[in-house]
Amino acid sequence: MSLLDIVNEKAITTNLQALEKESVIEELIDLLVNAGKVKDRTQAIQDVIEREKKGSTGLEKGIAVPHAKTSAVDTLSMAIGISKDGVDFNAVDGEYSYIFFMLLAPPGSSGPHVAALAEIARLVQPPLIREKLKNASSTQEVINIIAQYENGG
Amino acid sequence: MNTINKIMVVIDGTPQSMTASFYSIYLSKLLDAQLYAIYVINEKALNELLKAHIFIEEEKIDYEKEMLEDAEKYLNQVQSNAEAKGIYVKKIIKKGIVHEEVIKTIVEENIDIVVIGELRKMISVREAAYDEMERIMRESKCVVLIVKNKEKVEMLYKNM
Repeated sequence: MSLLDIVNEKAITTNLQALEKESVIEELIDLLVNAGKVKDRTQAIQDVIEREKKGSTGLEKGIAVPHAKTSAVDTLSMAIGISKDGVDFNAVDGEYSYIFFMLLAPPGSSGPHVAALAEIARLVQPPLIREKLKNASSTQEVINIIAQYENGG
Repeated sequence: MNTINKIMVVIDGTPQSMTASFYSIYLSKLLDAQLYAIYVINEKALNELLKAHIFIEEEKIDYEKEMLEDAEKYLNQVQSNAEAKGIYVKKIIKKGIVHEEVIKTIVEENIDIVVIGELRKMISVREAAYDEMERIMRESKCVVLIVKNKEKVEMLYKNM
């Protein structure tokens, strides 16, 4: 699966404004709303927050992957946000999170949802990719970094 | 004597794999071959997500259950389509690394042809390393048939 197949350029920002966990979730969902991917904003926020209550999706090394199964979307949809200041997302290593991948999946699409999450996990493994994403200054730059990674660069 | 006795179609829930199932039904009837349909639950990916802390244990169990339901749903759909044309399907559900389980089953069941859906266009080098259908195509020891042209295949099935 190519992550570029499920992310719309309107759903990418390199300038996340939010400084707190819940507001990051809302800002990322708003990107998906503006991209025409989310039909019920309130439901989407509620489902992601419910998932976060069970355990934070703040990983190590500045990455967070908030996600949920939700009836608020019809297709697997991803937003990417980069925060320059970082956000306390209750990450497993206690550090701030800077790079956010939000994935929303409709019920009954567990296979593609799992495949996309696994692809994100692989994407952020190389330190150089994380550094490039953290320092990206435009949507196109984010797309180029992912495309270059997926093409073996 | 017919030397193609067993055909196995790999189902993963994608429209491409369902198109492959229609062609495998057609081929099974044409060759009078036994038809198998396999769905492998990608347990490796689930474990990777748990290890990466993207999934919590409860979520892994939930997704595994949903993937099993998906497997049953898609295989039942193949069975129903096959029975409509008088073909019996042996359904197989496995868990593990998808291409490895498919290749193991090819050997265990002595499959002559494995049928898969059309591969992704312009697949990258890195994607190819992780794409399960690509790996089945490359690593299978039996004949691999890649099914293309959804409209034509569905017409073949319809006119059987």
